[in-house]
This record gives sequence, structure tokens and C-alpha cells, in this order.
Amino acid sequence: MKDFRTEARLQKGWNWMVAVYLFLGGVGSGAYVFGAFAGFMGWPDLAKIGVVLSLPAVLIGTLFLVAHLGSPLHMYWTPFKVKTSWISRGVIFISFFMLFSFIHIIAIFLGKGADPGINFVAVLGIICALGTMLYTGALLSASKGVPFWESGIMPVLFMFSALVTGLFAVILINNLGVGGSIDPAIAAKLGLIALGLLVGEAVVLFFFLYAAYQLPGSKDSVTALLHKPTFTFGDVILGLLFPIILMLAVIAANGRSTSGMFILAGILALIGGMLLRYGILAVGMRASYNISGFEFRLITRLDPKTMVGKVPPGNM
Amino acid sequence: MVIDLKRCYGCMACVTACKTENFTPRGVFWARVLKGESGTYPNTVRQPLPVLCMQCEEPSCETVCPTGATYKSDDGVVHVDKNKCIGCNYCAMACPYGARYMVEKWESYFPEGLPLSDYEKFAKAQWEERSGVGVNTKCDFCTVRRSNGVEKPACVVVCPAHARIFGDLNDPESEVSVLIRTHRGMPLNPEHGNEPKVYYLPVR
Repeated sequence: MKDFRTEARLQKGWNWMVAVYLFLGGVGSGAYVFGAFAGFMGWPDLAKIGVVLSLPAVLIGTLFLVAHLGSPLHMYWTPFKVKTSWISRGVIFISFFMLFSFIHIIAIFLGKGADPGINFVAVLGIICALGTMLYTGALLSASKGVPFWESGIMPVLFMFSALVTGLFAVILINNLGVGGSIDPAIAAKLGLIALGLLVGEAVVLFFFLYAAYQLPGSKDSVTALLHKPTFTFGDVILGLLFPIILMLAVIAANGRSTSGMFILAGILALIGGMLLRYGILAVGMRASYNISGFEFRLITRLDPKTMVGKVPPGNM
Repeated sequence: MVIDLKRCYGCMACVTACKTENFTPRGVFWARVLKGESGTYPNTVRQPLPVLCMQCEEPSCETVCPTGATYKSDDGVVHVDKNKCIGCNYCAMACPYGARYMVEKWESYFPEGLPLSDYEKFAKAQWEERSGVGVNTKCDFCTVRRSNGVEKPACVVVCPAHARIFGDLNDPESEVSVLIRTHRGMPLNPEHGNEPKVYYLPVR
């Protein structure tokens, strides 16, 4: 009888595995967009890392999702409901994204990364990557059962987060010795791009939480999220604020001897991106009930630590 | 279906009848009775709220289902095809009424390691045949029971307060249609736009 007595309001269906999927989907698609962009800008090392990283990141993320499914053997039915289901749309986006990414990787290893044909593939890949990023957010926005997620800002937030985590994943891998050292002029430009994306994400996150707090159905979720140290400390302070300060320092130093700053900012931004998804999933509270103006409230006791309502035993 | 909130006193007979009829495993409650309160002080009431799948006209679980496993039959009841469901839980996230239940594996009510009783073996076999495991399940207004010639779902028959009334909403002269018209019948949370087909007669 436990299931409908205690913590009746928190969603339990999507756990950390889905959060990892959303995170790696974002990292992979963000890395590809940045890799393709670096290719157009003539930064070959970063371009190579970005494109090569994208496919395994999305693939591993997808494996997490598949592991979470109850009946993965029925998966061949998934691409046929694109008209209404965001999962079906996501399957299409991710499949085409992986295809274009794979072609691009082969071309890079054959030394044909700059061919006009491959540039065309890159454009198609960017479109699918943007679709993948937006889909990870739209997937949650279409969830009527969890009012906190049902926000039009969610896809934009996840897109910014995907671009930030993708960009930092590429620079991090490059600076850890896989690629060559980055020219100071390029490093300063990267700092500026990263700063813009980080500030963009922070602004979107603020408006997302502010808007959600105004709605009675999602107010409790915002409160619970702000009481989660993994979110306030892990995502907001470590994952957004610190990287913003570090990128300001990179720009102030004109990109000279900034490798360590990029590595630190990269690690923090990636941790932040993961904690953002996990936090949003973990505090998703179910819609409440009301009939003709009477809101039905479960008799609950608020846990002051997590700000999640618990139905005291003996209530049912 | 119509649920008269003035009559329901939260005895949970519907909860147990549903479990017995549909052999739902541990942790799965297609019919639930939430106990809560409504109104503002001093005009508050403690109120049981029986909830089940609302068999929506525009079911959001059906909309988001990526495989078409959730579908609406001609009589308006929403079903799950266990051979198509991938168990992604998206329907559970999309249902504003919390009516979807994921069953990852069949679990006994008794501690692990104890042999299953004959009843449990039967219940497990019935569940696996009708609903399956690794599948997101839901109330289907006792489709199997009704297909066997019994007119009403188990929760309706068992209700001692006659708080649940089952009938055809398309027939304007049916008991449910008359009750909705004459007693201000309202669905839960109409703002979701799902057009639920379970109506509640308010307490006041």
C-alpha cells in the first residue's frame, strides 16, 4: 500500500538513467554543432574532436535510455508515431544525426573533412543536432502530468545547456592533450562564445524558474529544486557561475595561458549540465486534482529538508 | 462513469475489488482512493477522492505514446497493447491524472524466497497474459470482465455506497447522463483539455 501513501506527488517513472540520456544527447549534439562550426572557422583540431565525440556520446546516451525501457524488444515500432509523439520525432532526429555524424567522421579520417559534399552533410548534421537538442526539452514540455516540465522555455533551456556542454566537452578533450594547444587569439574567441552561451543559459534558466514559480502546479517543484544542493551549488554555482568567471578571466588574459582555466571550466560545466537534467527530473511533481473550483489537497506533511510533501502514515 | 463524492466515504472497496478482478501486482493500483481535504478554512471538508483512468476523449497518454501501444477503442475506452509497448513511461509522464502504472517485473506481496501460493501462481499467469511485464498498464473499465458478459466494472458493483455509476454517456437518457445534467457533474481538472469521461458529482 506504500505507493499511494508516501510521496504521492513525485514522479518516479524517469530516473537518473533518463537524465544521463538527456545529458549525453545534449553533449553529443552540442559537440557536433561546435565541431562543424569549428570546421567552417578553420580550427581543424577542435572540428575533429567535436565531430568524432558526437557519435559515441549520443550512442552511449541512447544505450542508457534503452536500458531504462521496460520492453526494448518492441522498439522497432517507435519511428511510426511522428505525428504526435516527441519520442518518435526524437528517434528520427537522432537516427539521422548519427548517420550524418558517421559520414562526417569517416570523411575526416579519410582526410576529406573539408570537401564541399561534407560541408553539405555538416549542415544537415547541424539541423539534426539542433533538432536533437530541442527534442530533449520538448520531450519534457509535452508531459502534461508534470506541470513543472510543461513549459515552452524547456527546449530553449536544454538547447543552451547542450551547446554549453558540447562546447566545453570539445575544449576539455582538446586541452587534456588530445588536440594541439589552442592559439591565444582562438582561445579568446572561444572564451567569448562560451561566455555568451553560459550567460544565455543562466538567463533562460532564471526565466524558466521564475515563470514556473508563478504557476500553482509547478511552484512546489521550483521550491524543491532550490532546496536541492546538487542544483543550487552543483549546477548554478559550480556549473554556471564559476565557468562564467573563468571565461571572463580568459577574455581578460586575451586567451594567453588559459588551458587550465578551460579544463576547470569544462569539468564544472559538464557536471552542471548533468545536475541540471537530474534536478529537473527529480523534482517533477504530479499535477494536483481539482473539481469545479475546489482544489483537492492530499493531507501531507512537508519535509523541511527537501520541501517535498509526504503523506503521513495512517492517512489512508 | 459517474462518481458521487457526497456518497463516497473512502472504504477502499473499489481498490480491493479492482486488485482482485484484474490481478494487479504489488504497487499497482488502477483504482485508488486519495484522502485529502478541500475548501478554505472554516469551510473545509475532509474528502476521499476515488481516482482511476479517466478514459479521456483526448488522451494525452495516447498522444505521446511513441509506438501506438496506447489506443482508444470504438467504445471510447483507452487500452494498452502489451505487444507494442516499449515501457518508456512517457504515458505516465503525460497523464495528468496519474493513472498509468509501470510494471517492470511481477512481484509477490510476500517476502522474496517464499514459494508462490496457488492463487499467486494463477494471478501471475493471468497478469502476464492480460497485461504483461515491462509494460505501462492502466485501468480499462474491466474490459475482460465486461467481455465475459458482466455489465459493470468490479469497482462499480462492489461500491457499498452506490457512489459509482456506470453507463453510456452517449445515451442522453442513461442514468449517468441524467446525473451529470441534474447534479452539476464535472470532470477532474477540465483545464488539461483531455475531456475525461469520468464525471464527479461535487460535494456541494
